[in-house]
Amino acid sequence: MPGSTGGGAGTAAADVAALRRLRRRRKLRHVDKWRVVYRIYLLLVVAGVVLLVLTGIGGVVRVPVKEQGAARLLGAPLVGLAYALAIAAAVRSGSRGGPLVLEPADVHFVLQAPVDRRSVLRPAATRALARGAAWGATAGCAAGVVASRAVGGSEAEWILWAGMSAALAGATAVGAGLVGSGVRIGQRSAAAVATALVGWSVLDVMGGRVTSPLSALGAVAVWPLSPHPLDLVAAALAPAAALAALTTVGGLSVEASARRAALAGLVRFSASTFDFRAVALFRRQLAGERVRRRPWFRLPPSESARVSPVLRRDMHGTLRWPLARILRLLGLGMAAGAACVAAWSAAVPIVAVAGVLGWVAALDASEGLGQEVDHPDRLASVPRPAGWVHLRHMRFAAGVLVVPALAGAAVAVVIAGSGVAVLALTTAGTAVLCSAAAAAITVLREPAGPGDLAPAGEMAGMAILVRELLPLAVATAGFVPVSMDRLAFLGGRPPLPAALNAAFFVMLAPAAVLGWVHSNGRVPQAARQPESASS
Amino acid sequence: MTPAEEVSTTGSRARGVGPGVVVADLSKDFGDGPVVDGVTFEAPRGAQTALVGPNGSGKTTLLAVAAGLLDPTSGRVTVMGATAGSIEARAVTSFVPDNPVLYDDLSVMEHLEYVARLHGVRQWRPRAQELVERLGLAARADDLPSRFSRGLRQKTAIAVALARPFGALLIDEPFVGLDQLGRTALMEFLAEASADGASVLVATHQRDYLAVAQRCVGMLDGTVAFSGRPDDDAVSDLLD
Repeated sequence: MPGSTGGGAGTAAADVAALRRLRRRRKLRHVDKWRVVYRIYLLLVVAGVVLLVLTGIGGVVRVPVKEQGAARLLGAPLVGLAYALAIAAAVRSGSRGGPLVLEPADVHFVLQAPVDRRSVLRPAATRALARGAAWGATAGCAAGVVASRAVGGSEAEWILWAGMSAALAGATAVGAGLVGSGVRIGQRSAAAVATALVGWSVLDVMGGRVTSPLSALGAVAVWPLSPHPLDLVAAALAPAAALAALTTVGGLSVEASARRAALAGLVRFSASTFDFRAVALFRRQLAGERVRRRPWFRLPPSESARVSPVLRRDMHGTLRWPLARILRLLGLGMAAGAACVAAWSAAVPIVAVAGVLGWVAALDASEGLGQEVDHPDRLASVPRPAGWVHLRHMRFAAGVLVVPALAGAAVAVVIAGSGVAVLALTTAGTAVLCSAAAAAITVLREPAGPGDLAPAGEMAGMAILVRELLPLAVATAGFVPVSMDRLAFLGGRPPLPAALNAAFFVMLAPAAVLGWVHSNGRVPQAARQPESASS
Repeated sequence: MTPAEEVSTTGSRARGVGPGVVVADLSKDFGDGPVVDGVTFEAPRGAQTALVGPNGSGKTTLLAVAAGLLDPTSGRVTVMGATAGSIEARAVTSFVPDNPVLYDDLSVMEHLEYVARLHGVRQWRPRAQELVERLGLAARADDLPSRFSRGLRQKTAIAVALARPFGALLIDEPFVGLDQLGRTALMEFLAEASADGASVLVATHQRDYLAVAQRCVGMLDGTVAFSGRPDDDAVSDLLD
């Protein structure tokens, strides 16, 4: 088109920026201001609840003065380990094209235009770095509140240092992920980097020292405990990672971006409809987690009528789990065990963290149940009530969860000593049943419809919130024995009988869910996902 | 002068120098075995090449690699002499995927403006007007394609691909969902593009397109099963 072509990469980049501004203005024009106000109101309510939980509503227990030495010794490397885990996850995400998520049309038109990709991706990368810092700061401030209650000191000081340290860690993590995707790091190299980072931090924790840069950044978070000015050098990690990210972002793989663009949209949509089973499914695809073509081993053929076909179907599926899923399940169990120890030692409300971890693990373990819901036509042709099938899937999921639960109990025993073995095993048992029940509620319950919004208007959001918190409440109930043990200990009563009593009553929750599943044996009316979406 | 900077002296919209689309020993493996396996062929400039083959034969993957959307596992694709996906290749490659990819919040005309300007075209409006009129989109030019039917979205994607200069036009199943007006217009556009010197590569199951294509590449199980004239009997076997 002679005469009509002109300009260079700079002009095209300016066009991209101009179009973005136009689209932003247009979107703002169509924003319902009252809806935004209502969302902010809901967000504040949720933030308030979280803050109340964090501060413990009286359940936060101060770390005794004699134990503050240990807190000082382990605080920095433990925070550093948390940062290392976040950065390791980001680097692994980078090996799959993360953490940037572009619009599919941007991948198709902008990344395919003869424009310097670095110049058009830089604004998105900058926003991602800022988001990482903001999320980090939020988490850090929340942790600062808890820490100030647990070990004493000025709340403002704790919030300042923990918030700043976590903000820097958040930006570092996003930067590391962006560098990973920009240099197109391979999955094995990413795993090696992640292992090295986490391994170094674990060694720091075991030795109670600060040798890795991330432990030093962790030391900034616990500054009120023991200030070491040299640790401030670690603050340079974030700008270094950001600079490297903005320099290398142009190398992003279009193939990985296109894949992420498509799947991230599905994850967001599923999350917006509170369909957490679909979120888990698409997140696995986003992580490139695919079931094995060949099972770990083949089950011998069975024609026995005594072997449940549901059990065999679930075993076939589980034997195709990729290693990443197995390790994730074990990791979630171990993290839940550590959270229980933290709940017992510092703040009882931390059992909610264990509850969330148990629920996430149970969603993974309930894959057979999820697949059943995804393919309702198949279930409709089974000459049995749907509840019969669902209960058997639940039973299998609970069986699978025993493994991570035992891993969690082992972690608790390793950290807290063999004296907690009975409590750990009891909690493992209740956690398995409650988590499986919680996942069953999430998977089997129909997405929220008009009927669920009966208290219409301003109460609808709150009604949905309560509805969606139910599975988490059931999962957390599984860890209540830990709370009761601690509260009895503080009250001068024998702790173990209190925990066992609690375990007995806690079992009512999964029993009620089993009854609901059994009686709610109808076939779901609509498939949530097409068959191609199955993992 | 890079291929991207070169504008055809014939007064056409075709951009770039060098041969058309050259696929050399290309393989693509997503981890479950090769989807495209050692494919070699050339879609020359100034000709329409039909890419045919049964479902799962690797046509879509091959086009996506040529468009720079997928990285090859091994081998190479060059477009006008530039490696697929490079900035020079992006300047000369226009791709229409089988499933139209469009912005939710841009009208048809805004899509055309945006993409044309991304490719350095300042006077985009006359060509955009011509495209929407010939494709029967004029009455919907200011509407959002996100609310269109499949056929109208396909027409929009075709218009967007043609609104910018290119030296190679890669289209995946372009006739699906198009009405007769759209099919006729598309055939004319493809003929004009090849007459202007562009390399046109069309993956299709449509037999009637073979009547206008000058070359045909048949794929089967990720490999080239046939390469030659579209009226060869072997092509019919691949389409059956």
